[in-house]
Amino acid sequence: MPEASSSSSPSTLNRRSFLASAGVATASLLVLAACEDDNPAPTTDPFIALAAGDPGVLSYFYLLERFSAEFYNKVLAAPPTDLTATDLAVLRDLYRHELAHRETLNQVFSANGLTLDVNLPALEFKYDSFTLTTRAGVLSAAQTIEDMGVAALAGAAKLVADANYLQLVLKIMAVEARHAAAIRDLNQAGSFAGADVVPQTGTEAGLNRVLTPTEVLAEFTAKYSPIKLRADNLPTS
Amino acid sequence: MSLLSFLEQLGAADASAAPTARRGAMAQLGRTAAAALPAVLLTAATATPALAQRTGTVLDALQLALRVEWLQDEFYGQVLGATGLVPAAIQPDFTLIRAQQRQHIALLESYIRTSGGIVETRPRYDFTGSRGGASATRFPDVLTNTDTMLAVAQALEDLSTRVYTGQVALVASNNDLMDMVVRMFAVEGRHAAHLRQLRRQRGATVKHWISGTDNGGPLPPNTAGFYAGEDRVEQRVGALIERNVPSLLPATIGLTEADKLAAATEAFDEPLTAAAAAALIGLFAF
Repeated sequence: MPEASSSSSPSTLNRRSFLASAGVATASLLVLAACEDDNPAPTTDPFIALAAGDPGVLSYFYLLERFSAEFYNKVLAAPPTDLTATDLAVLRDLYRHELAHRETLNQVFSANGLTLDVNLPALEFKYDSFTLTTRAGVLSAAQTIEDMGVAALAGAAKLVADANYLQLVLKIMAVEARHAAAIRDLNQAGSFAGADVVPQTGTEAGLNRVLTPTEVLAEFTAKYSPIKLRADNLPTS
Repeated sequence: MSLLSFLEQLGAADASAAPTARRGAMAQLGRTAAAALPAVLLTAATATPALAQRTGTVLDALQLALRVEWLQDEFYGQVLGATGLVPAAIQPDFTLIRAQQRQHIALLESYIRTSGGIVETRPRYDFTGSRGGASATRFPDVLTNTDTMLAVAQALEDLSTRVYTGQVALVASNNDLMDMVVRMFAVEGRHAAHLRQLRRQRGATVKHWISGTDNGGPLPPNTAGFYAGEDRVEQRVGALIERNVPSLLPATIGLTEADKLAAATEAFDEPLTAAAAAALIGLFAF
């Protein structure tokens, strides 16, 4: 199913809807930044600050899975004509896996009475920094997304406190690593664990690159999210 | 968690495995000045000892990871040394994979030693599965037939990924150790997908991920054990709470029941227990 377009004036529209949802949702974790001291004009952008503890870390993973699921949804709704049947079969599997991850994480919230930030399931991601009209563009975008996902999971798995949630996240992470390698090999044969993702020298030799939630959410804020995302409340160890 | 309780945990008794090494570790820890301990130990440990001790100790987890990495290091060493076995086009891939595995080995061995543990003796290996002629061969042409070699390589990489999937959580009480092990885990997942890609290029019908039990793996029945339990469709989402994943997939995207089942099993790698992992390693190591 094609995703609804969010191309025209996204920031105004989304900001308004976020403000509205903040007003009605008492459980919302949306936080409005305080205005600069004596200046009442709403010049500061609103933001979403992910919650503390496991709900925040799981919200972060949910966000990543939703982002990648919708990416593949968008690609498969209008695939570039130069994608091969092999490419399409892989992309289709990736889409289904990301949906399975997203929905299973969603169940972690509902089954345990945890609060998923009400704004996250509705956040309209932006994919306009990618070229989605050519095979090269799609594979390059998928590689960026999958490598980021693996580095994000590798960087944040240690932040999960509950043993059951952690085991689920690790099961997901194994498959995200497979995704990243598969896409890299389609993009460039033999690049499955290239030096840009697994340093070959130095103290990190042989270890997958990691990204902190702060780094990943800054990337989202810069490129993929219509609203600033903040990691301040997430655990750091 | 204090340094002392972490050290206790590292050496905590777990009846079965390697009591000698553990006693040695404790004795040695007693003599090791705190200054000699690595930073990772000194900054140790904020979380849940219950998690770390769930099925084994930190030392057990590291030693098991090391056994798997040794197994693969030895495998790639032998196959790269066999004339004409590894096609020239993929020799760089094997060389890279082996180099990364050796980097993991160096880190794991160093961590165990500097923590006062004793690294087990590296065993002997026989990739035909005959344990040096002591039993029937399972993969007789592994060092002469490229397809058999790649089949075994895939099984070993999937083994590694599944072992890490189960063992990473055991080191969760130590942030720095967790950081190291989880990053090795991600690299193993990359290797597994690549071995599958290499087999795809030679015409094998296989995905980059394990689908159901993969029909017993590349060479059933001898590889079936590497894939047992991978067809799990229920996932644990909380204490004693499981969810049927195929039924969670949206109805709107037109998946058949078979599609849902496949996707639900592919989307999660299933951990191997330490006992299952040891049995699989024991097919080749003796």
